[in-house]
Amino acid sequence: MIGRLSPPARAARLALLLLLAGIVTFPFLFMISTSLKPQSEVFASGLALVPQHWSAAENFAKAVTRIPMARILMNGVIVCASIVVFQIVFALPAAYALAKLRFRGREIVLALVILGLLVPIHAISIPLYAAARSLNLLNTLSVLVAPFTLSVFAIFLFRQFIKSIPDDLILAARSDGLSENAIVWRIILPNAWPAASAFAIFSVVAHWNDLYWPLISISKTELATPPLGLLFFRAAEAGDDYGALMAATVVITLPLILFFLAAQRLFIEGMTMTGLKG
Amino acid sequence: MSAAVELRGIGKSFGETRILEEIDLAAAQGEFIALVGPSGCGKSTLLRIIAGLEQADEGAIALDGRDVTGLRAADRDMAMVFQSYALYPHLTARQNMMLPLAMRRLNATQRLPLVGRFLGSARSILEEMARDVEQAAATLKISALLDRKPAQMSGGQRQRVALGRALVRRPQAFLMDEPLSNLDASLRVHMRAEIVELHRRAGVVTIYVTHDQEEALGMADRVAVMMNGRILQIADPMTIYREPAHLDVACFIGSPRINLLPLTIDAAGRGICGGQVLVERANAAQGERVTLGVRPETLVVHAEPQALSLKVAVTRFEFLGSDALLHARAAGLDAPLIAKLTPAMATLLQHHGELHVSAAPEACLLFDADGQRIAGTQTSALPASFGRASHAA
Repeated sequence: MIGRLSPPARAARLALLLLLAGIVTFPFLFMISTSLKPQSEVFASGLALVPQHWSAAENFAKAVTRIPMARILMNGVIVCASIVVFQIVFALPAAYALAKLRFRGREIVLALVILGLLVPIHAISIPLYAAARSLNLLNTLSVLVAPFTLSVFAIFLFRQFIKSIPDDLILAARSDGLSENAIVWRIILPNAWPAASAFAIFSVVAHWNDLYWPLISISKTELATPPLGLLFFRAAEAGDDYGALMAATVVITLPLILFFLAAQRLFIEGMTMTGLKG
Repeated sequence: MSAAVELRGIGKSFGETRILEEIDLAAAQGEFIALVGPSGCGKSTLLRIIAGLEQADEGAIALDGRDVTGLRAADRDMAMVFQSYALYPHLTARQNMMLPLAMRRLNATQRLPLVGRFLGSARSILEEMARDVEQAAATLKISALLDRKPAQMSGGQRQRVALGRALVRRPQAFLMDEPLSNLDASLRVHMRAEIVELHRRAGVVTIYVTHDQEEALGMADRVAVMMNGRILQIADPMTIYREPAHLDVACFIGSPRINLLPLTIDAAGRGICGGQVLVERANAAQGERVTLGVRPETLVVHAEPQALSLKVAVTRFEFLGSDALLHARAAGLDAPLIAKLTPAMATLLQHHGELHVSAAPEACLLFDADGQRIAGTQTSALPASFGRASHAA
């Protein structure tokens, strides 16, 4: 496809893409640059990316010592991993049933799932908060996971993917003696890796970055997720030490970027893993 | 001894559409039965009902005399081979063949990953399973492929693994749904022989669905011809070919297709086509619409007009090596006529623009307006009893 474009057209397209990439990555570069600068340079006029005096060590030391950074990152990992695992565990059987089983009311259930996609977390956060409080779950890690274990988006995404798995494969599994449950975990899950890793990217990015729900349900620093930890850090530092703040931001963004790159490679590998058809 | 697989009055609808109607079928122990019919005739649905993958609306299924109508596929002990092979893409050939064994021989806790193999007698069962897989692989000559995944195999190899997955379980019945139709022609002929051989060795009843009549006739002990959700005829291949019970069976079975000539019946009961008497006594009432079917190899070609012959204009000769086909048209007939000749005969006749065709009376198949076979067809050239005898034979 690319080969068919004329060289000037290719150059123009490349330039446009570079420009857009630059615009998107600039805040990140600026974040990294600021995290390396001393206080005096942060407020200097001009947009120097390379600091004149390096105070990276100082900023990063503050970032990891003023708040329990390791603990906060660990909270993020536990919460995001639990959410993804539960979402897949709950969504996959539902998606399989909606994609491959014939039962009365299937279309209505599917319509409800799609309707569920339209309900934002903000609309139901007050009932969720009330429920969490009456269950004494506020200020626990459970409250960060529980509301998100059932993802209608995951059900919808997996359903679309499972529909593309040939019926014969499922019929073969049934005549080989697999129960519907065994089909989901032994046949569907291994073959749904591309969808699962794509979904994991969405889910982990969304929940690692989520501030809204943790802000409502958590008030203890040692239970904070990374964005909430950042907020506590800013409050503790009176909000003017931007170098340290950016250093903390770098620390909490880095794991996400690494995860994204790893999952993306898995995702592409999954996409090229074919062989379902004869 | 009860039938290995017995179907009684199977019916099935999808919504308003009637897919299967009143299907009765009894397969004896060790029998090879082919279900053949055009696409959409319900043969695959019937196979899935037998397998327990689809529920019939009416009727009952018995396996070795045991009623299995309400049982799930997993509890029926039949193995199915699919057209698309349906191998598990994430598992190697060995794992593909192990899975059905694991589901049957190991209990739920023994199937658990990692810890399962240390529970109870799991280790010895696993060793036995591995031996069975090796043995089935050796039978199918796929031992070298056992550690490959389906994506790393050719179509023929996948087909063998799919057969292996069915074979390794030693089921009570094999069900095959067009297993060869994704293979290329030469491999298909080869695999035909192999499947027949496997069936003979396993001695297990096999129900084989195909749309390829040649496959059905060549492989099966008995052929069931299906059209529009019904079994029109079930008989051994020779009977199906020579004595089709219905016009649709006659048309579907045989290549090139059977020649059809519309006959009008005169007051003397003779069958007339294009002003020419073709059948001396048609066993039908005057004015009835009757169709005469003549197989291409039984259509006799003459250079000169004969009694009971029809004049045809030659369209072309087609030389096929071992034999030759004459394509011709008769006045007033839409469909071309095809006669199968020896190449020598065709060479002799190839400069004629006009020929005459007739059919030996015992080769004439007559069908009434509903397509049902009319029994006891004969011509005056032979004693009445001969015609009857030849059909009863």
